[in-house]
Amino acid sequence: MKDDLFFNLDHGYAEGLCRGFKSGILKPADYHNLVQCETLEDLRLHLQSTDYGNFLANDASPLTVNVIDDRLREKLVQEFQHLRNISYEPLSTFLDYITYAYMIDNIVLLITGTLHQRAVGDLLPRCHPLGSFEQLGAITIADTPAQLYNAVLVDTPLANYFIDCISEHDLDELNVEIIRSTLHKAYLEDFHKFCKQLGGVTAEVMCEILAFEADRRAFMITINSFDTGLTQDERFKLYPRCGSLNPDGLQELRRTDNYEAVKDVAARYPIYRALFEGAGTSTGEKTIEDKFFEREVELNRNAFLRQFHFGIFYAYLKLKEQESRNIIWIAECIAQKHRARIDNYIPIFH
Amino acid sequence: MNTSYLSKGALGAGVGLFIYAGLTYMLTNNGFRFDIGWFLLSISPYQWALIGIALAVSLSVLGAALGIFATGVSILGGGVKAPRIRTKNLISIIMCEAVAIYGLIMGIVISGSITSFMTTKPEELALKYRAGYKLFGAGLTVGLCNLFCGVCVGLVGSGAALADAQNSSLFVRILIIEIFASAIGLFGLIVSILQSNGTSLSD
Repeated sequence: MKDDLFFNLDHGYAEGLCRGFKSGILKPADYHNLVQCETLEDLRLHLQSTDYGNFLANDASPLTVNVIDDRLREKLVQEFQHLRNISYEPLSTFLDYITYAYMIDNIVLLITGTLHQRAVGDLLPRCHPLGSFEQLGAITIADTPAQLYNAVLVDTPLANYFIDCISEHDLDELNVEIIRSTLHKAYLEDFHKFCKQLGGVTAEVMCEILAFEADRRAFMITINSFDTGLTQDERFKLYPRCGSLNPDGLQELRRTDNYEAVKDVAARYPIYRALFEGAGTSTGEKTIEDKFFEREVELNRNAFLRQFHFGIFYAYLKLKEQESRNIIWIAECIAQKHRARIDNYIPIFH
Repeated sequence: MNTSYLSKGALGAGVGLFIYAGLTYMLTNNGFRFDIGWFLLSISPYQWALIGIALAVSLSVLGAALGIFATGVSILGGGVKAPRIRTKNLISIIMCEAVAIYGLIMGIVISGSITSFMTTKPEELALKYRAGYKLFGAGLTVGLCNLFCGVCVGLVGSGAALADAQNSSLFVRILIIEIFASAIGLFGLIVSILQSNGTSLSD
């Protein structure tokens, strides 16, 4: 009851604003128009009549897909920053938690770039703005994870996630991916704990979404690691424990070594069985990643059906990102004049 | 965590003190001194009636305030991207305000019944006590009913504003829910008027 009665005191305006942003997400009619565009200029014209407005107005033709990608991301970041600026506790902490995922991606991007001898000045513009923090530029000076932690990350909010990855090995390609997965695992479990502690409707909505994220990561890590040198035990350490696969499913996944075995493990969970059955590895069918995206969109859409909780902010960000991916997919198909699979975007609203 | 220890400690200390006092009375053969009747009689009927007025107005205003902030903030938030909802949704605010007005009306009605009395005859004093209790009951009734009514109208109004921002055909339907919600405040007003009707503290 405390949820319902006093939620609007601190967070009512942010919720109203977020729902307003959500109503600007493109509808099927908009996608229908976009799919029929012949050039990127047509795309710009059609996007003008949507909530995006004149966001591409300052870019000279010829437009490229990269420019559209940058502008879409800018708009998203602007809206999210505005929500973050007007929010009160505990919504502010919640929104900060959402940005930690982008921080992790930025750190890994910088480390990988440094390994390939790129200059810091080239890499920093490619970082995601939502995941920027003060010490970001200093990451490139570190050689080993231990140095990275002691010099740079100990003052950031990500410090706690680094406990499992500190080692004296040098940072190289495989290690960096393992670091990314370990950080993300710690982040997901921490976020899940935070949402559970918030309680009420937020916990109900967010814990379901985060449990699905954890399971999805477990499946994808397993499937993507089949031909690499990752051992089963190392793989097991990367699975987040906050999903519904924990503990039996994760033990079974650890022992699989091909796609069919993973499908068998998924068959014991009704939702995942349905997802795996709809997917296939041949070219005409949807991949399991597409099915996971669809399920994520469904869960995020359902978050808006309830009022007085923080899940809508997370759901709005994820849906807007999915929309950006859709628009970029359509733009790429148009730019490369390869329109056969232009309808393979994931519809958000019906 | 500290506040929870503090409140548990305070509660424990209070219960302990009560048990200690009770045992002292009982074991020293002074149990007759624990007299609820005497306690109630020593509270003047004026006290009951005036607390009734306080409850009528303050609880109604509390309910209206909870309702208005719940609705108003949602109208503000939803009105940023959908400016058309701003004027129409003020109806929800007006319905919350009506709840506060009920409390005001009852406050005025009850306070009209409060006049001084001089008698000391027990049979007439009994009637004065009865009047005091009736006015207290009337105030409590309207106050609590309006508290919950105001909260209800406010929460429904908040949902109405956000739904209207998405789809303007929903507003009138949710308004019907609000009308039912505000009817319960009216029930409180009616019963309260019946309770305070005809009672007077005068001689």
